[in-house]
Amino acid sequence: MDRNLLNELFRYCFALTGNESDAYDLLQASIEKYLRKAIVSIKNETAYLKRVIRNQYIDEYRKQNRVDIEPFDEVVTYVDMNTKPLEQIVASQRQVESIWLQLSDSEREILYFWAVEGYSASELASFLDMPRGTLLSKIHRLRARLEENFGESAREDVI
Amino acid sequence: MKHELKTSVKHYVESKQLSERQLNDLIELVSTPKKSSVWPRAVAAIVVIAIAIGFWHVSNRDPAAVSLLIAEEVVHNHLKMKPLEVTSHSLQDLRAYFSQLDFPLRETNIISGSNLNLLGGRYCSIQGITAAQLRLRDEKTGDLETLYQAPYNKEMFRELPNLEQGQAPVRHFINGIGVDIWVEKGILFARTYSQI
Repeated sequence: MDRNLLNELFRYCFALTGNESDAYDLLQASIEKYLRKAIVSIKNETAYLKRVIRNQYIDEYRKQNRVDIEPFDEVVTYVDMNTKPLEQIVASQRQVESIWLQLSDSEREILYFWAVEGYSASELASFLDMPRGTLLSKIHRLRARLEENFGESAREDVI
Repeated sequence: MKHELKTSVKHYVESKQLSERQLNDLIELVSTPKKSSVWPRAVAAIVVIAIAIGFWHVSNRDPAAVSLLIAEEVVHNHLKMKPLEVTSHSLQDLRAYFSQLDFPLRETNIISGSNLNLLGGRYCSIQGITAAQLRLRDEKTGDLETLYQAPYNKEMFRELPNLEQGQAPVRHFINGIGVDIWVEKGILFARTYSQI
């Protein structure tokens, strides 16, 4: 586990928790859990560690009622779309920073995997173990929320 | 300065990094073998005593009560639908992941040939025994089902129906969920049914 990987995992923790202090605590607890399991052969250590982090986050922060990541079975109406709606939004880094803590943990997680890891909606649904319809509804709500916060200027003219 | 949202999020998140001290602490954590201390041994002793008490307690209950306890725990875990730790449609892949179990995951005749498609699994426990929790999807109805596998200990779990002796699984209903429990190939199986 080198420095680059630790920083990458830290950023995922930051996306989940929303702040650097909790992100470090989450990362440390997750690594300790990972070391305790001491699994000999893992095909994709990074992906596995992110799962450990996510499970640790849900287990730990649910106790404090701070998790709004729905477990699995949210009832949704299927809407045919993908991550494209997010790609039409423009925003400065300062605007992102200002809204970061107002977003839910699942919204930040979606933004992280989409923007930083470059996941498609299908890849994201698979990683999050979430029905595609549920994910797409979340993206739809996220877009509406971002547009509301960033105002009219959030929408790019080019579609 | 405005960019596409994607670029701004990426720049913002990537501006976050561990401090040098945090990095060093974590690298030390990863590379240092755990030092032995009194506490792990004390905790282990307490766990052994707790298991012994639990074992004595359970082994003095009648079989029906034990299977009901198993069913209650199974339904509780099933309804939680915690995220899977490993995803695969192949039992072979899952066997490699569940390397910390004291038994290999086995196929069951009850599932073979059904419409159930394996999705993945996670570690869990049944009555304190480490077990595998496998998630299945009924391709006909779309319902998610859970199949548990744990090593069968007769003293612990008492007498349960053995499929290979022609016995039918014992069935309980908890909160509207049906649970079948049986023994096959020396393994305790428990399977949920959303619709019966």
